[in-house]
Amino acid sequence: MAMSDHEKYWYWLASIRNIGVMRFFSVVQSGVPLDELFKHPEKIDCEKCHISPAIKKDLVSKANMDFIDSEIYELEKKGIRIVTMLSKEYPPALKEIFRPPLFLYVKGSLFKGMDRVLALVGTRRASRKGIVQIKNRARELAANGVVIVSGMARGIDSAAHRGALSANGVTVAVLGGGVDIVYPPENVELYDEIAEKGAVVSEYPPGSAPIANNFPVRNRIISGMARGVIVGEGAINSGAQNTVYHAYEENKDVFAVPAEDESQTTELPESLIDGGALIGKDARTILMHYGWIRENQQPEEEIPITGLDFFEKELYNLLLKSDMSVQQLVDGTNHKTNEINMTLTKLELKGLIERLPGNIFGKKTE
Amino acid sequence: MLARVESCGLIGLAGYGVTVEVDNTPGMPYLEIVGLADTAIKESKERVRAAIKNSGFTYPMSRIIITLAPADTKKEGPIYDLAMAVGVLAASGQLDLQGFESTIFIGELSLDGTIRGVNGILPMIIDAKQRSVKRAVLSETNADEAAYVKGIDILAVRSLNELIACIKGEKRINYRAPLEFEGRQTHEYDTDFKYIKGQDSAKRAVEIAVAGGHNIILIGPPGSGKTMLARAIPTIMPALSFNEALEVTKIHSVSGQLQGRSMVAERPFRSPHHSASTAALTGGGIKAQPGEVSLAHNGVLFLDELPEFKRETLEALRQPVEDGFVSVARVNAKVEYPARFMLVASMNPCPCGYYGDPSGKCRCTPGMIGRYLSRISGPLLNRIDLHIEVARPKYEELDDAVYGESSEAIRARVDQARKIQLNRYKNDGIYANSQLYGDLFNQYCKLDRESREIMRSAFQSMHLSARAFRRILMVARTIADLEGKENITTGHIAEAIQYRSLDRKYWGGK
Repeated sequence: MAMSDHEKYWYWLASIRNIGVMRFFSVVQSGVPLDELFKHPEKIDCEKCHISPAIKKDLVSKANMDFIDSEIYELEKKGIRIVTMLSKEYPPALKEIFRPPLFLYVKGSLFKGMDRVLALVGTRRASRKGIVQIKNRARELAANGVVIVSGMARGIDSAAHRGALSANGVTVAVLGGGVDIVYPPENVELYDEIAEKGAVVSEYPPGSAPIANNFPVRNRIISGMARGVIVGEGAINSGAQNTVYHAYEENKDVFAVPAEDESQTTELPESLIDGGALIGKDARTILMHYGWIRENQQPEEEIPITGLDFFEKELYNLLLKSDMSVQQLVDGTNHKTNEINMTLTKLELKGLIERLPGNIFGKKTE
Repeated sequence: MLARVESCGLIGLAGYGVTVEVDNTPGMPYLEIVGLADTAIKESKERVRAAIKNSGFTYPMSRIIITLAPADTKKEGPIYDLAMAVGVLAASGQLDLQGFESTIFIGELSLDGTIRGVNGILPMIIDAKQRSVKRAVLSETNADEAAYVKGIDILAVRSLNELIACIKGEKRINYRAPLEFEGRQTHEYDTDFKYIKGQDSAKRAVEIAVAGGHNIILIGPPGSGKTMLARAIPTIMPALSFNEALEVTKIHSVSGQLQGRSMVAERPFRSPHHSASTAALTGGGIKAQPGEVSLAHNGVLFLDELPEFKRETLEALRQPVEDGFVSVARVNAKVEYPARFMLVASMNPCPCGYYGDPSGKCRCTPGMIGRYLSRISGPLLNRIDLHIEVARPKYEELDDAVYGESSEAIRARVDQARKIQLNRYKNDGIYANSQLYGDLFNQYCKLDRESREIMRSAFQSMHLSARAFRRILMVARTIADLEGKENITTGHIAEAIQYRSLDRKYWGGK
């Protein structure tokens, strides 16, 4: 997958700081072919192309194939490739947006089946139920060949990536910083897995810090790559809402996932539904919308729980309904704390429940 | 003329005899005090002169040398004023001490001759009695404290005049009646477990901790009642025995913390602020005073907001927590103060304080939480056996008019469990489950097959360390003792496992 010369010229022009999409295309469409300009950069007409002398100076100094090659080589050493708009790897949907990224830094590979692409975004402070919901949704979608795009943020984004990976599907993470910067830091294992099985991409040069200003700009790529955007839990005036804004701008479908529980943050999905967004009730609905569903889908089977004694069953059933604190279990069951603590341990060791901060227990999620 | 008067000094918590020798020879008026005396003692000469004069006696215009023997120990404090005054009077022929042998004189003098009380009387009197001193003369203020020591006559006097009158036989001598230590606590605590609403899990954990002498840490958001729980702990601790009370009183006496009491009858509760210096906490300083850890001896040391304490201060706590005493260096001696206490620490679960709170207010990232927790030094955390998570009570729990179980009821169970431990370990040199070590584990904490299964399962799935393993075993042993059971069963282990929150994944444990 070596870059063609033409791609390298593209990269040469596009990688200049502050050039921007408009000026880039001014130069490209200025009448002189790109390879000519590369060999004779002095020929660039600043007036006609609306570029400053400073930018022209940069272009002149970088108009050297060895220089470009060595830059590309350094990146490849870090496992980073450059995918320009000219490449077959560049997501087709992304080309259509208003200000597409001229090229992307990519770790992994964008080749694999980029036609069924859906973005999945949401809040960083998701409830446990919300995370489980999105993970399941992503898993089912990925099992039907959908590529899941998200931002690898805490909360909904990570749940979406994990769901897709658990179905051995493809997922793409679009980062707000350099493609080599793992943010948030605790997602380092997720990052590695995505880079291996899907792709981690960024518009920003390696080493760029994930500063706040980058994220709204990055969001246009997330929605840009996809056919539609699915919104999990989210708040008004959030990053998720910003991504939805881009989606509307670019005429993408927007699906809102209704909440199943009062513990979830539903302001954004609710307001979206009010505003006419589609309801992403379950994966099947979304797949049917695009006609992507396979005929023989088997429903997931519930594995019956056996081997619990009476008290274990009582506590487990309570926790199935919602997470509860030990105090609530004491008040709600007329048993003493030591008996309850004891039984909770047994359920924990059987892998049925898990302990959460604040002396709270809940059904175990993966 | 030469006069010899006996008094007492203190090294750490032990009294020792100090002989005040006064030599009076004709010559230029001059008073010198020798014997490694500190500044307060050097100032004594003014007090002694004024007190003698104002009591109607003559201050000798001659050359006076006073020596405090033995000459190689540092003498501190104004406690020798009285002895010096008596010595000066005797050495100048104004007082005949015949018939008043085997007597120690301890007290500070006011300028008008009133005798003031001093710190550390109890250990001094105990030592004097052990040396077969017959009688002790001291201030009214100190009399009750001294009266607890039987076998030595306590003469309490208000002024130099009164004392001289007694010595001359002009006033009848009434010795202070000895006081009996009340075995049971009569002190009314101002808090009780029954006032704490809800928090059943935390109360249960605290009961276990006190029963087995385990150190604990309370983790919870602001307003969850951590401090309230901590303060209630002394109310369920077993009553102080006479020997324990003696130890506690000695320490408080030496530190000037008796506050008018003659004997400390309740378990101390010390809660130093996290800005306290290391010396304030462990002891030391110029006069090598006992620190908070010693003042908490036989009681509770409450470290509120543990991560706010300076790292070096927490490091200094290792010795007392591990060994039960602190070594404090002095100029020419090393003093050991006892410091065996129950450590109760509290902390917020994260920098903002609301991690795990159902309100969802917490905005801390996992990185921030991990860093916050790592501020508590590992070795100290190692010595904390139970981690208790405390949650903010819901309104309904507070509104409930029903009281919880009273401290008295809980203490009864704790006492039972303590008795079992004392009996079990009588030949092993320890007195509580929290002190188990090495081979004693194998002896007293045998597990049946089912229990071992649970431990193994927990060990693997919760990734517990060897340290956590031992602590769970100790706590399970205490839980079994509270039930009066000889053998540890799965239920005990299962419950004990829940008290290792900080080892859990959601706090950066693996």
